[in-house]
Amino acid sequence: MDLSYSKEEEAFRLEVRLFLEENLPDDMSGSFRSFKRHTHEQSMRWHRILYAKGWVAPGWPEEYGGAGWTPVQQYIFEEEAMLAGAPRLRPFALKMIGPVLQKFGSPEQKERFLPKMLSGEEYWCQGFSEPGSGSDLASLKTRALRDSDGYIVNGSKTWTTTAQHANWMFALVRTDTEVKPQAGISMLLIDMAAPGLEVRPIRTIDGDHHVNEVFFDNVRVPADHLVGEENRGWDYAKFLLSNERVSIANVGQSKAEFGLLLSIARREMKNGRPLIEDPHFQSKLADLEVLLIAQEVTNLRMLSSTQLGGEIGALSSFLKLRGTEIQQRINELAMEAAGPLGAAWFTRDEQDGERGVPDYAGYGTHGWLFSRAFTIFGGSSEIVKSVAAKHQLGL
Amino acid sequence: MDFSMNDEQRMLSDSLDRLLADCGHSDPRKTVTAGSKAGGSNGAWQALCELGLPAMPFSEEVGGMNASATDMVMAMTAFGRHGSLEPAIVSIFVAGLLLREYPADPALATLKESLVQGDAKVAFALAETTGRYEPTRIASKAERTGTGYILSGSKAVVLGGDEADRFLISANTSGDGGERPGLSLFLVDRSAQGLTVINQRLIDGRGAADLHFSGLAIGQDARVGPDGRAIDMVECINDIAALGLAADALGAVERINSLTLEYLQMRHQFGRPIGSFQTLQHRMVDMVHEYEHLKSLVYIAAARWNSGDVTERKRSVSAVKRFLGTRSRAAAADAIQMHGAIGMTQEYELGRCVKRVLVADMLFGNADHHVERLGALLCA
Repeated sequence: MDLSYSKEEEAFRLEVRLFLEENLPDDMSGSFRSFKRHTHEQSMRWHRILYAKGWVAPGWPEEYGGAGWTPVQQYIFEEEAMLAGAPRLRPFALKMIGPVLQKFGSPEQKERFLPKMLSGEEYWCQGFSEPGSGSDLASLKTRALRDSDGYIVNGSKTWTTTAQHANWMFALVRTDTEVKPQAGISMLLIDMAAPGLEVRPIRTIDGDHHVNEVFFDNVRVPADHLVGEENRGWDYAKFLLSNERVSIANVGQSKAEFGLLLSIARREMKNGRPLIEDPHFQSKLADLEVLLIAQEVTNLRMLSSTQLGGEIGALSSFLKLRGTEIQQRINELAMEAAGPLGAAWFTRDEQDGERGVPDYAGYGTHGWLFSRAFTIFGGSSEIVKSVAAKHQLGL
Repeated sequence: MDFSMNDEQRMLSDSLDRLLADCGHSDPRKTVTAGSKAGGSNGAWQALCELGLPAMPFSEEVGGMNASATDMVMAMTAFGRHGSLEPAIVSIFVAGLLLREYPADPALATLKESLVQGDAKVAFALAETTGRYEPTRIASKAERTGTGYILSGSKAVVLGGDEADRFLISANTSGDGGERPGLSLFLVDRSAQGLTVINQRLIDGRGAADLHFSGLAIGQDARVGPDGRAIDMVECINDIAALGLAADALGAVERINSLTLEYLQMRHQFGRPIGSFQTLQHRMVDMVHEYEHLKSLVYIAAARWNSGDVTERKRSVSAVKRFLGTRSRAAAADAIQMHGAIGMTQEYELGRCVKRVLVADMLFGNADHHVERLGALLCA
């Protein structure tokens, strides 16, 4: 057992750090350091900068334009990028549908879609959840009827993150109603500009517009935009969801946000001393630090084992559960740290500085509200635990 | 011993429920966000005055109802239950109980008549952008002049400050802050020369304000309480407000629980109501139990307030605020989790109820502040 990074990995870390110093735009690190969440524009601009360097898809095989990095290298990159204040790249193309098309897509689909995912020319969203199908995804009802030209899609999707920016959606649709639910689902690639498709915004409790409803009224999808085989969509969706390993634990982002929390606690004064020196608050920070260390090492255990060809196994669902809990707790402490100032409404555009309050005043409250979603989307914690109990523990 | 509502309390509670439901603040489509108009535009305040709510804490000779803190706590709960945006906690509950505590204060006495009628609204400008929950750690100063004082400084997140006609502002008449002697209180008109009021929204839609003042000249008679020795009064205001927020939050938690229970029964996944899943059943039961404990802590704090014992008051207010900011906050987060994505939407009522619990924790001493005070009282 060797829990240290290799010489090559350390050299790689330095290379990444140097690249970030030279190429991460000031406005992006500035947003991070002044407690503003990155915008979609910033995320996509950073995407294009990484694309130019050849680093935008570290996990993709080199034949598809990926960097071909090992899982540990990918983790190192993510950690350094997050600590430097870089935006997170949107996962929908790079981590979700991209790998699915590489494995199951036709040669034409690979050629048509993969290059523009890499370049960021085309932006993707995920059409899985429906109003009546959340945790019970297999019950989805959006119907795709086959005719001579392709499919006609009717129904609706919801909680579709950043659909307002998307050019394409990968969607699960029902193509057979006679069989058991999982066996009648197909995966389609749907042009967001298609006639009959409408996107409506949903505001969330943090006041932002992250998610949408998407309605399909006789939307035509060409037959060659079916992924793989008809009625195999459930298998592709399972592959898509199990494919995520490197960032599922959210260690890089959590470490970066923990750093922000510490900087708040250094600046905020309580009884004439910095909050970070307050024994009560300090012990809460220290408890969080314990979880972060444990999470980081557990994540590295998983990554090194997959690198040696092992199975991801039970650790990946545990890392997701614990990772989201850690993120929620970081935001909770940031909210507590702001004291009474955290009660005021915040917006991304409004500079708190103009009110004479610290720039971190609304950060934790906004994060507390938004981070509620982390244990809901991509499989709620309850569903993840039920799956783990059944498939990993045999209960 | 009788913990049930008496007939008068039930009648008032029913009338308030009807009134606040009619005024439509629980309609989630009316959710306000940053910058939009405060509550009070829909006639709710006028209706509350007609019901006689502002008169509750006052004696019968001045047209009041001589209500106990317990009666008032029950009334405040209705505001939380309906998500009302009216500044009842500060302008009725805190102002009324404060005047009852300090009947001999001449400056406060000037407010009495207009408060009984509900003609004036008062807000309490104590917190600043630094200093958190320590009432003496403020930067605002009051400099003595021949005829009164000159105030300079600023205040932050003044609950109900958006609609207030008058502000009770704390400032140091001596020292640099941090010491108990030196703290004074002043009653200032919203329209006073040298005072700038910037309205703001809280996360739950209720109104507040930031105040900035410099060269603000006021007369000797605008000082509330003794010069340099207003700390007891300031602590009293903080405690009444904390109790008012807790009573309001009790109503919000009641609503959170009924929304969640309803959703567990109504929402189907995997061919059955999600409320049939054991993991959700147990959590719902926990939420109900947390609510019952919160209710007990609110009631006992109100009863202690009636008793007048200052130490017991502090102990019971800190107990309920601690509970609120830890267990009730966690239960509120759980309610969102149990709803799933629908609980994250601004349009659905749940989010505003949850935010109300957050605000109740964050103002007038959060959970950590109150557990420290409770701990100190244990050592005393």
